[in-house]
Amino acid sequence: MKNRHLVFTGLVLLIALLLPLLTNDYIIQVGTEIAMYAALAAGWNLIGGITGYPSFGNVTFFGLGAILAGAFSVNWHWQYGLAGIVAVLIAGAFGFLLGLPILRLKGHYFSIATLALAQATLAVVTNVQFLGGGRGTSLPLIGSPLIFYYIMFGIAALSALVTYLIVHSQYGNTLLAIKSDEQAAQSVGINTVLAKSTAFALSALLGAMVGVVYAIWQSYIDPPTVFEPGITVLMLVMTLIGGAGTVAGPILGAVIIGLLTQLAMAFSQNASSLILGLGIIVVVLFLPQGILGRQRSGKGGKRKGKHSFSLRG
Amino acid sequence: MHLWLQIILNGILQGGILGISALAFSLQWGVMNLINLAHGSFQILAAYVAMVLLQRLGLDPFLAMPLVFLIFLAGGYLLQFGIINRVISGNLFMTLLLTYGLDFVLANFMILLFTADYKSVNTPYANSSWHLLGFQFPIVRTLALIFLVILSLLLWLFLEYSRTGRAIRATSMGTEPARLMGLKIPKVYALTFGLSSGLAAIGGIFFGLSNAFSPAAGGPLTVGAFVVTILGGVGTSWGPLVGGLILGVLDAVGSVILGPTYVNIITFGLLLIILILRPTGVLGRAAT
Repeated sequence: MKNRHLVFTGLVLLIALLLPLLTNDYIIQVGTEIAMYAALAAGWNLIGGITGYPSFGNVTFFGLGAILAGAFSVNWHWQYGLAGIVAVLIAGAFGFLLGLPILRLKGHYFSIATLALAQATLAVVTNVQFLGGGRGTSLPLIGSPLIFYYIMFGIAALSALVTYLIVHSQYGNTLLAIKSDEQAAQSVGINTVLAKSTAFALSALLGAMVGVVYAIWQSYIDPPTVFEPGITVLMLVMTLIGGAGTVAGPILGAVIIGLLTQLAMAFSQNASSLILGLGIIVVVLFLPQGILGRQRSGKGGKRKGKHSFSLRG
Repeated sequence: MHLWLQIILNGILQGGILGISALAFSLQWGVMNLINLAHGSFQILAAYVAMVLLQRLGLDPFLAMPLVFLIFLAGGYLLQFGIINRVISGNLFMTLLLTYGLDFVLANFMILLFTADYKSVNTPYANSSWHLLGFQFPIVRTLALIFLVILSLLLWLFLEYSRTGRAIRATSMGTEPARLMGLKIPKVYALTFGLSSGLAAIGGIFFGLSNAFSPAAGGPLTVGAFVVTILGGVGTSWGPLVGGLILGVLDAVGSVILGPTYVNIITFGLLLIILILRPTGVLGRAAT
């Protein structure tokens, strides 16, 4: 069992590493996007899948990473690496501090609060010239597409590794306890507030990291694009399709949705969004456990007839 | 002084449109514990329908209103009965996600049909106002506020005194006892969603009469309805009116003091603060 996982992981890594040697710029571009969304989905999975707090506003951290790194490097002439690290740390701290009050909310209230968080952050950023509000930020063109493919791929691998380590640690058990029964977890002495906020902060760190790389990869960013609510939806749908709470689920989901989107894009931008919408409906109706989630619960035979999320509203 | 009174008046009148939207949103939430993220897109769709009826058939939006109400009532009934009912007894998140998917489909469907450009429902009276005591009363917004009061009253009477309304209220208090009393929950839910959709359509027509709109305008409408519902309290008949007036005045005054680009900060910031300080709503009952 363990060996099979190892072989599978090795195979995926090998394919991903060798892919650029065999193919053209278009494939590399698609590959970079898929790796980017795999990392974002894995980050969402930490708070939404493993902890059971479905955030509708994780794009906040992606956007903050991109906007802050851009602003520091352009306006203060910082080296981009330094700007990126500071941006990621700020976004992580932002996630932790906001997590403290927001993660006290349950069910609908949490989801909508995160949605409002993303919109409020966008509204603030749009009104601050330093952050590129109104006109966006242009960054110098550096590096080759191939480098960004490998960097995004590295972040995706890092996200998967972090998820793996968390799932197989005491901390992972804590999060699982919170997801299945928060009051019970509290009553046995678990500091649920700290555990949840840490998960939110980790999720924020990963999201911001992707945002920082995205900004320099695209070399032009403006607030509405990097705070687009659709990005959160993609993270969430990819995780659900693959299987929420699993290590490989978000990555599998990112590959599936990424390839489907490319196919649909051949028709039109609208068609691809329309298909994404229909995809969400189909997943909710017919695959609420996700591809990997269903298998697992089938084997364990412990399906409670409910969905993999246990939300107490 | 006079200017400020006019600004506050504008806010109050804006509250009518916000309130009608929230009336529908709050009904779904209160009865079925359903947050309909496609709510705004329903409204924009109704605005487009009114626009097409006006352009093609010359039908005045106010005359078209009963027809559009009925179309949306039927559509909402079928949508709930055929699709949403399948997941609504499961967990909250799946229902939320389902309506998000619906929103995506509706918004992009509207872009395909009507393009992403801004449109409006052009009536001769859309931009005119009544004048009274030196104040301006924009016709459409004034009518929206009057409609909100009438609709709130009608909804309250319906829920309080009609047989069907009582069935809806009984279901909102708990599905299990309601089932034991012989109520068909799926049908009650479908009716509730249909009624909400019809109300949303009326709100959408008012929105289309007083604002330029595009398929992308649905999202902000949904969040606006959410804020108003939270302000007024979930599932109360008069909450939407109270919440609509509060948000309308805050937005109007805030956009004058801080500038129009800050309206979103007020709306979303207010939502965040309320959620954190009082998750059950300002006038609302305890969360379920």
